[in-house]
Order: sequence, then C-alpha cells, then structure tokens
Amino acid sequence: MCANHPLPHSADHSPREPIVEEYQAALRDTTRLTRLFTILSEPSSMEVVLDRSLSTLSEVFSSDVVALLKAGNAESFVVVKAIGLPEELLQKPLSGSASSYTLRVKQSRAPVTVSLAREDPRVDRHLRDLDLDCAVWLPVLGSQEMEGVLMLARCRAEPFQARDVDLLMAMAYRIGLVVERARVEQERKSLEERLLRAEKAESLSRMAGAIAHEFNNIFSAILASLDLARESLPHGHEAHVDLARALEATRKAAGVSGHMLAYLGQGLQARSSVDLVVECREALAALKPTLPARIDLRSEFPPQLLPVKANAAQVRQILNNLVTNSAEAIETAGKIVITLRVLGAGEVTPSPLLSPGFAATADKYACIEVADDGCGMDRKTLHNAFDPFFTTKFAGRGLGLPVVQGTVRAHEGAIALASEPGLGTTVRVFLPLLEASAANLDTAVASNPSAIGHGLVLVVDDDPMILGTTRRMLSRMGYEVITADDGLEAVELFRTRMEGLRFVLLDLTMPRMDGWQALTAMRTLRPGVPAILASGYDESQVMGGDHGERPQTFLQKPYAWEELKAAVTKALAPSPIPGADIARARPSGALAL
Amino acid sequence: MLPPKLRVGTGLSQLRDAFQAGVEAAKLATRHLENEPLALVLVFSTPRYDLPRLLAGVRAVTGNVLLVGATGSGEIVRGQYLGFGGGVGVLAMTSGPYRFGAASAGQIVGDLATAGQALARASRERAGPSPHAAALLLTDSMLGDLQQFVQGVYRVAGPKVAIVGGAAGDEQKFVRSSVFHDGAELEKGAVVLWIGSQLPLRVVTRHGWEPVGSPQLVTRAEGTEIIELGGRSAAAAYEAQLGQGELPPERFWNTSILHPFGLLQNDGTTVIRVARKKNEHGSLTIQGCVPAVGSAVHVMKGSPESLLSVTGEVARTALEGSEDPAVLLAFSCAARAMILGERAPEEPARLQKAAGEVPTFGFYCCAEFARTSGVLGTHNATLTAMAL
Repeated sequence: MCANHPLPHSADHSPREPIVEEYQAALRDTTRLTRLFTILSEPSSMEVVLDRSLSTLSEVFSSDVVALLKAGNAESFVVVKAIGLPEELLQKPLSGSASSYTLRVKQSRAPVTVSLAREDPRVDRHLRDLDLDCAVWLPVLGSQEMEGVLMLARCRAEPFQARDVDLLMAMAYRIGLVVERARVEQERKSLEERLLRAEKAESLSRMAGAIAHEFNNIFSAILASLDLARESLPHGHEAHVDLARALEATRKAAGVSGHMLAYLGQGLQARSSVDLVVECREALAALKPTLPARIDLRSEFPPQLLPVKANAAQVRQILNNLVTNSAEAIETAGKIVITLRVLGAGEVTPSPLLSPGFAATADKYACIEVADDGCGMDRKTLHNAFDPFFTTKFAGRGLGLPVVQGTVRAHEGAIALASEPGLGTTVRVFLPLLEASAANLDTAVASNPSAIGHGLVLVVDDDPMILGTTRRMLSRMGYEVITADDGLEAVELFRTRMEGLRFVLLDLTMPRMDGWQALTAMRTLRPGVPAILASGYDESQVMGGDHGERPQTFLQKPYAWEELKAAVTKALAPSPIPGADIARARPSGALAL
Repeated sequence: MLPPKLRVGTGLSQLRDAFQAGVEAAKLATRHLENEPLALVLVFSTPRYDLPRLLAGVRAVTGNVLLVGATGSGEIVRGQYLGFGGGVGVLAMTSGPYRFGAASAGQIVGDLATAGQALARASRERAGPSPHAAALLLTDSMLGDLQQFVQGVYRVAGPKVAIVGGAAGDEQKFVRSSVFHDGAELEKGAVVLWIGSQLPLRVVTRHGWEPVGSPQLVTRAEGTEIIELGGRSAAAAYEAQLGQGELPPERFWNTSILHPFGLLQNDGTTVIRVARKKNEHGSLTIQGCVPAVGSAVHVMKGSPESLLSVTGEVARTALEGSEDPAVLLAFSCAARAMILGERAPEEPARLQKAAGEVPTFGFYCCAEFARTSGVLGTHNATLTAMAL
C-alpha cells in the first residue's frame, strides 16, 4: 500500500447535487488547463517548463507518479522528466517489451488506462515495485512526430475517468509541441554553432594562408638572395658552407609554410594526369636508401596504369610521409608494405574523422595502402594523429600526416586509418581514378632547346625585395631587365619597349592594376607576348576562373633560381597554347644561356 | 521472529531555566526506558528558552542519542497543550521496528528543492535501506516556498515514503524560529528525519474548514504572494468576498486567520492556505506555499467546533494505519490554536481521548507537511498525524 490514505467519509465530503458536481468538474477542468497553459507559455527553459508541467499534472490530477518517457534503444524507454519516481529509477531504462503499455501507446498513438498496475505484467517492473494502483499512458505528439509517452499513476484505487483522459490528451499534445519546439530550437542552435565553427575555421584558414603567403614572399627573396650570394662567391670560399646551411634552413622554413598551406588545402600545385604506379615506384626508389636496414620495404603494384589527376610531387610526398611515419613506428625490425589497387566508389571506406563529409566524385578510386607492423597507436594518439604539430616523436614536427590529409582532401580523395597498439598501422589513401580516355599522362617534360639568356625582359612586382632579387637572377641568366612596381606603370613601360621584349614576368597582386589586367592590356598591344604569372597563392586558385588572356606558365612563390629558370624555359617554349592545362615545368638539365 | 516493539516515553517541563527544563522533561521522558537503548529523541519547545542550553539539558540526560526538534507555538504532550511560552516537550523512543537517520542544514538560501533533495538523500543513507519509510520534515517557517522543499524530498523519496512534519514557529511573531539537530540549534534551517520501516506508514490530514461563496481564480502570483484574484487585486477580491469592507494591514491577520483560502483539489477537497499579510500594493503574502496561477481558491470559514470535529477521526484513522502503535505524532497549526482560543487545549485533549492508551506528541506549527496524493504536501491551519 502507498503511504497515503484517502478519507472515505467526512464532513469535507458532504454529498452534493449533480449540478454542483458538474459545476465543480467544469471549474476543475478550467483550472487544470489554465495552470498548465500558463506554465507552457512561460519563456523558461524546456527543463524548467517540463518540471513545472509535470508537478502541476501531479497536483491537479492527484497523481503520485508522473513521468515523461522517450523512446531509447531497441524497445526501451528513458525517463526524460518525472515526479514521484525515486531518483535511483531515473537513470534506468524502462523496458518496452512487445506487450508493454508504453510501447503499445507509442505504436497506436492512443491512450491506455489500467487498474491494479502493481499486478499487471505489462507495466514495467520498476513501476510495479512502487505499488501503483491506477495508471494511464498517453501519447505525446508534436506537430509531426511522436515526442514521447506521458504516464500518470496513483497509489490508490481511484481510476482515471474518461473525462480526465480526454483532458490529459489535450495537455499531452501541448506538452508535445513544447518538446518539439525545444528540440527544433536545439537543432537550429547546433547547426548555427557548427556553421560558426566552420566560419571561424575558414577565417583562421584564410589568415593562416595569408600568413603563409606572406612568408612565401619573404622566403622567396631570401632564397634568391642566398642563391645570388652563393653564385657570386669564388668556388671554395669558406662562406659557401654557411650559405648552404642558410639556404637549407630557408628551404625548410619555406617547406613548413608550404606544408601549412597544403594542410589547409591551399597548397595545391599544378595537377596533371600522372600514373600513380610510376610516381609511387619512383618515390619508393628514392625512399628505400634512406630507410634503416631493419625495415623490410615491399610493394605490390598492379600491372596496369593508374591514372589520377594529381600533382606528381605531392603524390610522392604523400607516400614519403606515410612510409617515413611507418618506419619511425618500427623500433626493432619490421616491414612496410605498399599496395596499390583499384576500388569501386562503393568500396571506398574513409574514416569519418579524417574525411568528414566525403562524397565520391568518380566511379573508381586508386587506393594507396601503406601497412606496417610497428608499435601501432593507442586511441588517444589515433584521435590526434592528423592534428597539425601533434607528434609522439622527440624530434618530430608533427606535420607529416596533416600534410597528407590536406593534400588528399585537395585532390578530392579520402583517407582511412586503422591502428592497434602492438599490431601496427594501416593507412589507405583513396584518389579518384581518371577514365582511360581522359588520362593523357604527362610522363615527359620536353626540355626546351630554345636559347634563353638574352634579350630584354620586363619584371613587374610591387614587392621591392622580390623585384630586386628576380632582376638579379634574370640578369645572371643573361637578360637585360627592366622593372615596374605596379600594373599600370608596367603597361606604360611595355607600350614603349614591347617590340624588343622576350617575355614579361608579372606578379598577380599589385596595386592600381593587377597581373591579369596588365596581361590583358599588354596582349592587346602585342598579342601572344610570352608571359609568366607569379603568385604566392596556389595555382588552382589563381589560374581557375575565366580569363581572356592566359600566361604561358605559372610561377609559384617563393621561387629560387631553378624554379625561375624552369618557368622561363616554359614561357619561351615554342607554340604555347593559351588556356591549355598548364603543367609545371620540371627543371631541365643543362641550360643553354 | 517478531520485530522488537517500539517503546516511548514523554515528558514536559515548564521550568524557567532552560537547562533545568531540558533535564526535567528528558528525565520524565526516559524514566520508564532506563533499561532500553534509546534511538531517537524529539524536542518541541517554546522559542523563549535559551535553546542551546535547553538542548544541553536534554542531552545531559539522553546522551548523544539522535535528537531532532523545533520551536513552535505550543506543544502537545499526552493530550496536554502547552500554549505560547508554555515550556518544552520531549519524546524519547527506542528503535523498535524502525531505523532512524537524520540530516540537517542551517542558513538555507535559494533553491529549497535542492536542499530538500540533499537532506532526504543524506538522512536516508544514514537510516539505511528499508522497504517502507516516512520522512519527518521540520523547517524554519520563513524559508520561502516550503512546497519546493517538499518536492525536493519527494524526488528522492517517491510515493512509498510518507511525508509528515511541520514548520517551526515563534509564536506568531514571524521573527526567528529554529529547528534542532542533536545539540545544534539551526536558524533558517531544516532537518529531515528518515524513519525506515518494514510496513507502510500512514499520514492523515484534516482541517474542518468550509468554503464561503464562489471560488476565484488566481490570475497572478509571484514568490509567496497572490497578486491577483480573478483579475483584480488579491486583497480587494478577498475583502469583497468577505463582505467586511477594507481591512487595515495592521489588523489583517486577525481576520485572515479566521478566513484562510482553500485550494480546490481534484477530489473536491481543499488544501488550506493562510494569507499572513496584506501588502501595500494589494497583494497577499501566503504562509508557506502560494497557490499557482490558474488555481481555484475558496475563501473558507471555520468555527472552533468545526475545527475540533475532525480531531477524533484523524487520531483513529492514523492509528488504524499502524499494527501496534506506540505513539501518535500530531502536527497542528498555530492558526487553529488562535481560532480555538480558550478551547485550544481541547484539540490535543480530544486527540488523546481518541488515541486511548497511545500517547500523543507534537506541536503547533506555522505550516504542516503531509503528502496525501500527488506532489502537494504543504498545508496551513490543518491537523496532520502519523502513528508509529
């Protein structure tokens, strides 16, 4: 028996006329509705509104237990809010066996009333233990879907009347609307937060990109100056060693900057159709001598071509970083197996954390798999492995895997990672395969026998450091160099000297007139004049879009001697085709000056 | 094997010296229990004593036995009524078939529900597990909305635990009241006594008030005030219902104590709410727990006879809830004593008469706790009882 005792007969319960009873009932219903609607209209949190609503239902319907239940896993229900349920029951899911009233109401969306609930097996055992007598279950419906089940119960033999149940249905519906509204609001807030985070991330990404770009410009000037200084010193001068170190350090710094851009997906270099098998074979050939003897490096490559649209250097870098990571995970002796295979789009199974929102853009994918039997990663390391600057190695920089991730993302690929402590790690990189007809593999870069190193050239850049160093490099190459520090000035200078110019080298971002505008103006004056467009931003960003005139080649900043030479070679190559897919020229061997 | 029988003893003192009064009352309460280990001591007292000394006096006799209690507006000891400034009553008991645990807090501010939960949890833990239980609540009457405290306790206890008790008073001065836990006097405090039992414990409430006129809807309420009734200023609506003209604030209490509100319940009964004060802007301060917006309230009327008429039935019904009752705990209201006036001693006397050999013990509170159905558990001007 419950703890309370209703007094059956007393002066407070004098018999009343039917009309008075009806009046009392109408008043009771009015106060019930008024009380609940007042609470539901309050601008409080859902937590507070539900709490007060259930308390009110308990009071106005004299219910010892009132509980709002929500469907949980399988057929169980969890308690969202309750009055009268001892707190140790609040955390326990209520079983919703196939015959339970809670499940029945959920499925039928119709109320159920019972008596002798304590003996009814269709009542949850935990509720039966409370010695409940009469109970009613009601569907809590929102405007579109079921939001839960409301249960009221009494410890005494006082069944819920039909009139009460009708009123409770109306109340349950309104509670459902409140719950639905709160849920929708929560989802909206969650989306807003995600959007805000994404915007912040993008903003940070833009800032990081801008910083990296700025550094690129500076590194470009440093590299060029160091190159020039080294060239001007006699062979064997003791300063060569220092300059070599400085060059190497600057290249490393430029590398970090470049890696940051790569991680951000902004470091995409020029892409062309490359054969993954060839690139991976070449990369492994270069890697193998650098690995310790304890590492057994194996590869399993298919006989056919695997054409992908990618930047060859970046593909090699992906493999380089993954193999290096694997090698560092093998402490005594072990093996690393690199496998290439073709998969259908449906077989691509990326890790959601590493490739969120991945959607296949090709029918087939090439899979580069790097598997080692090294020490493996624990859960925490696994979670952080692709975070920039996270490293478990004392001397590690923590950029290898993030660069892989950024590069793969920029190539519209995906990554999967599996690892277990003591059992090793397997990384799979998925890159969209080109269709055979589209694969026009760029396996050779013709070296241009054209003479370079003579004649007049125009260099335009608003950065005086870059302008100065580029002029010096081109002068070393044998050119006579004239310069301008913005597009407008450059066009004016071009107008007067265009006949003798061999090519123009234009920076993209300049005041008064940018590189594209200047190029258009110059080609109007002299159609087809060879041009090189230089920028610290990635090529795909710069060269994408619709431009009437296009340069012969793109020169990525920061650039040093070799890169500049290659660009000049490309610009002066015979019959450059404006608008064609621009491939980045590899440095040729001997340079005819 | 039958559970041990609960044995109790009661004592009272009206000595002026607090320490001596405590000693005297405790000695009387324990005189037939010398060979039995005590498990619980209840102390109800006038607030006029030096309370720490009073408790010291009690514990000088009982030792460090668990002690809970409160100040009130008159004590009930075996049918005897100690009126305002009357003295102290002590109930000593063995454990019998019960297990006791208590928790308390002083200087409670803010969230009473959380306080109620915490004290219920702690007291239950100290009592240990049992299939049934009762929670005896003693709180300072001026903590705020005491219903929140009861709800907090109910969240922990659930429907199988009876809730009973009273709010401490200071003989209707509403300045300072205290609760006791062991040797400590707590101001703005609360104490929960958990009584673990093998069998259900029954709480009974009755009041004897009757409705006057038509019910009115509470249309605005905040904190402990009713601001509007039926869209009108609460005080104006109340006075209009009484038909006694405008009541000056300084004399409002004399009238409102005779005409409390009755909050209409699902089964047609009423739960009593006393308006303690009429405020400047026409709102009414309710003692203990204000009716929520949307509630229907009646203005009630009562007479000494109507109030006294319920006592016998309360006692009998409460005793029927216990197989072998050893004591009848009673919590009545200071407002009832004021209305009964010179007939106030009749209420405890009638209680005792109906209880027969079972001693009665309790006090006159500033609000009564008794959960009968649903979550509502606070009352005014009501007689509640539970038998152990």
